[in-house]
Amino acid sequence: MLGAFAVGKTSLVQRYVNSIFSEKYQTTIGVKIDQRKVEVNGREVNMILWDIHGEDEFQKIKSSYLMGASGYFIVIDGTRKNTLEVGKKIQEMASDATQNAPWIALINKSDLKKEWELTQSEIKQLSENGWHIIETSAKEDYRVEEAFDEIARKMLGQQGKNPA
Amino acid sequence: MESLYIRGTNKGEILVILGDPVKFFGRELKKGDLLEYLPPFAALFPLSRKNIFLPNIQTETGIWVNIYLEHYASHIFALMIDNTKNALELKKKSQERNQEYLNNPKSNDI
Ligand SMILES: Nc1nc2c(ncn2[C@@H]2O[C@H](COP(=O)(O)OP(=O)(O)OP(=O)(O)O)[C@@H](O)[C@H]2O)c(=O)[nH]1
Ligand SMILES: [Mg+2]
Repeated sequence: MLGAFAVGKTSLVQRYVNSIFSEKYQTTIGVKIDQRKVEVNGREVNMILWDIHGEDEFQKIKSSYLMGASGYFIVIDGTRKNTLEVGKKIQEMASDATQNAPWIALINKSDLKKEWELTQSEIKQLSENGWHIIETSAKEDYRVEEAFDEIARKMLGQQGKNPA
Repeated sequence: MESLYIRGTNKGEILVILGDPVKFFGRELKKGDLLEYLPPFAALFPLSRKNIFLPNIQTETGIWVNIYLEHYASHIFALMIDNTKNALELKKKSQERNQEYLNNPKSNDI
């Protein structure tokens, strides 16, 4: 889980792993490691999730956290436009550190869509530039499961959603 | 500094010896433990890198440890866990500043 601070990385993991959500913000220091089993095309996979601290004044993301990763999410907060810029920067670094591992951009806090600073046309632009984007809400459990399933599928190199 | 050493065999078995116990995934790791692999770091083992430093890894009991992985040769690792580190001060500073940014989006310029 990568991105600026307070975009919802920890909330997404907690929603996915423990089915819980908290309004209270507790910033992550360093890395918290969690895991969940996920089934991909009938195969059970143990997904190890590294919930990494957001980039802020005191903590810069270290590439040593990223090496060895099979894939990653870049999490963006739709209500804070600058988190897209931070996300882009981190993505470049992650791409190098992981030697182009698969990734998905999550634009989180979709329950607050009325307050989003990111516009639909900006998001469309990102898609056109090849970004795989999923709009999520950790709070309302919107497309969280789908996002993790999708990254698992990508990591296993089985990107086709449904066999034809 | 509490130390944890992992030594492997050519078959990839890993021997863990550490100081004070550290908990990951419901498993308390302590001196003399023999593990096939340490789950959270398994992904890092196959890498050909000689040394890996992972600061501030939060354990299940909420404490943070610094982890040093040294790769000696194929399947042979030394792992040191420093569990004397106190990250609470950093947590306090970071939390305060981030909250401040969120409350005043105009100053949100990182
Ligand atoms: N409305 C809404 N709030 C959310 C959502 N996801 C997270 N939040 C809130 O946003 C704040 C930050 O969430 P975290 O999950 O701690 O963010 P983070 O990215 O882990 O933050 P750092 O660890 O500091 O990098 C918290 O107050 C959460 O309750 C969401 O989908 N909708
Ligand atoms: Mg967090």
